Amino acid sequence: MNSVSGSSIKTVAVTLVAAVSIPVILLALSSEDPLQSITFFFTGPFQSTYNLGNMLDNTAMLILTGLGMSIAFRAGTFNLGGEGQVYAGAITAVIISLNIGNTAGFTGIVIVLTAGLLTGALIAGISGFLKKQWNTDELISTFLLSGAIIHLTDFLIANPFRDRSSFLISTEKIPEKLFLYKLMGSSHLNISFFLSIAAVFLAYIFLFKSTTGYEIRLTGLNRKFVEYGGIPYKRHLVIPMLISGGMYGLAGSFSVLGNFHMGIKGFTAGLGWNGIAVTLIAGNNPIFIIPGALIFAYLEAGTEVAMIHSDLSFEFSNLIKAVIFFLITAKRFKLRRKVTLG
Amino acid sequence: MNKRIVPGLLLTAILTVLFFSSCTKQTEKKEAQSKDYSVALFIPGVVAGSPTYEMMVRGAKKAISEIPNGKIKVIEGGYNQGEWLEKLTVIAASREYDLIVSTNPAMPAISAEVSKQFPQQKFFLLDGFLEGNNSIYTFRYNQKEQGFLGGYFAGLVTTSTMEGANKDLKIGLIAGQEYPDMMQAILPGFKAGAAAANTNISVDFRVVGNWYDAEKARSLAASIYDSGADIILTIAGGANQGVITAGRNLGKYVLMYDVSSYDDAPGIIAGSTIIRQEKAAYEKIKEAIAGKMKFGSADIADVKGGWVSFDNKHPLYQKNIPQDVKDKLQEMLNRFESGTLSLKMPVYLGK
Repeated sequence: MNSVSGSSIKTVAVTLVAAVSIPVILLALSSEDPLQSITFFFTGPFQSTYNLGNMLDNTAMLILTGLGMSIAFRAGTFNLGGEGQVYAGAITAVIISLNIGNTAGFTGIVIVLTAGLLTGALIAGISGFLKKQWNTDELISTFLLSGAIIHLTDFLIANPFRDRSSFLISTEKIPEKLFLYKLMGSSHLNISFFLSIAAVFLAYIFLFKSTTGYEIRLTGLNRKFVEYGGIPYKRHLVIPMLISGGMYGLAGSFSVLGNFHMGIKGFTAGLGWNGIAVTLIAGNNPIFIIPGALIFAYLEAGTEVAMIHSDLSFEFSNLIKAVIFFLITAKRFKLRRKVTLG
Repeated sequence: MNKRIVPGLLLTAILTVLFFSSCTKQTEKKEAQSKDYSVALFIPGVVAGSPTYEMMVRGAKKAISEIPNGKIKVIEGGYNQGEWLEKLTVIAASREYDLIVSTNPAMPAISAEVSKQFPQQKFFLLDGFLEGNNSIYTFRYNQKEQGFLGGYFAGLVTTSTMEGANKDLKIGLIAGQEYPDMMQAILPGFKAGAAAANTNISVDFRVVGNWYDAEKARSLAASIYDSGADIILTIAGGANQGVITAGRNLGKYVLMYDVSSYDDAPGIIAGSTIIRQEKAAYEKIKEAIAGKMKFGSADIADVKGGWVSFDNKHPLYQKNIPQDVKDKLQEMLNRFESGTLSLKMPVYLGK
């Protein structure tokens, strides 16, 4: 069980240094006042409790989506449908919240979160089932299904659940008794932060201390060996997808109860893809998901603050994120190729 | 491999920071100057490709350039509406700007939310409406009158003998989305304007569902044209291009909103209502700098005040539109400008 090996620490370190250097270089090249931009980039997230709280809240969401991706990776499967699963989890949370009536706060919150989780699990589970039954490539099926789900969710927000008195393309606000307890002033940080961290440890225990987790990891490492050993490996094509989708769905419902308090068209955009980046920063290790998510959220918050305070444009801040994402992915694939060749 | 990359990247980062820290003195000098007035221009979208945002930016920059030590920062909020509140809060939380300027009917409610946490932050919001918040001044255009002018012109075109006009008394309106201004001011104004030209005209109203899907807008426009309409008013942001393409393909007319853009499709864009967004941004920011902005109040800018109009001076309009249509439209404009005709903007509070 080399879950926290020296080489994976080194991989994470390299990725982090690269991820921090790239924005610095790009800011230096693009900004008229590079020092100011770079200073805001690095110190911005800590300049106020509002910025800090929002960064930590984003970290919590990225922990869940990163975890979702990581579990699928561990089983040797891919879940590229994160975007759709988060969005579907979120809209389910909104719809249930709007219809929950007089259910008491805590029970209501549990119902909404469970519904969001199940929605994500169900959508990813379909791809797992297709893989199990007909060996349908889950890389394609999760991605395509997610594309359709995003359009469906857009439709739900823009049509049957649209709040016609709003200038935004949004649903009505959910009842206040379902809002998650806030932890840091007016920022979005709420108790989902601790629940996300707890999820990481549960995932770690599941993967590394349980028989099913062991079988899943083994399936990810060598499917033929597992089959030869008499383990029903096909089961492990569905379970990881269910858990993976569940994490994405949970992230969606957390973002509704903790942050947005309504459904707005496209509001969870980016969470699914960024989860992949977090997993890759973390070297696919559940425990490293926490610092991985923190780093990614820090980079996001840094670019946002730099954009507000310096002359960094909206497009350029997105370019920086894209370069970081590209770099992390490229690095990972290079390692993967090395492993294959080796 | 890792061993070589880590120090390499670290070195690059350190060298970059060191290189630019040599510019510190210059920066300090800049910061040492006092700033008299600073404005943050929050764009709910991106500036590039949006003429109304470009007009606002030009007007605001001009106002700021006229004072010594004025500072202006254009901040693009992007298309994800869910992020606007957070971004606006971060701007207010920085306490760096005397005034936040924005434009969009959704911004008053979002700004009021931010104002609860940062009551000292002042807002000037164009194209939005909110009364009674002492930190917010709104300035919206009388879109009922603007819609009326568009509808009247479209009505004149569909009843005219113009080459692209048929016998059917049908006109269209394509909107990016349904929102209170559209449903309660623009569309009713457009219908009333069309009825003023001919009471038998029917209006085909369609919604794209977003502000960027030009292909969907093209197919909606094609279907409206197919059903007998000869002119469509398009209020769909980036998706307007799709309506223009459909008009070009079928030899029909397009009517533009807010910004005169005849040159984009000569012969296809038959008319355009206009708003004086640049003038509004310029004059109102000058007011704010002078300490004369009436925070807490909401102004409505109409045709009579010169803020809303129809661009009937453009050479392409003069060349392509028959004289009787031009005369009738001018007559209608005169009635609004002299005050003999005015339409009341409905008072409603959107969220």
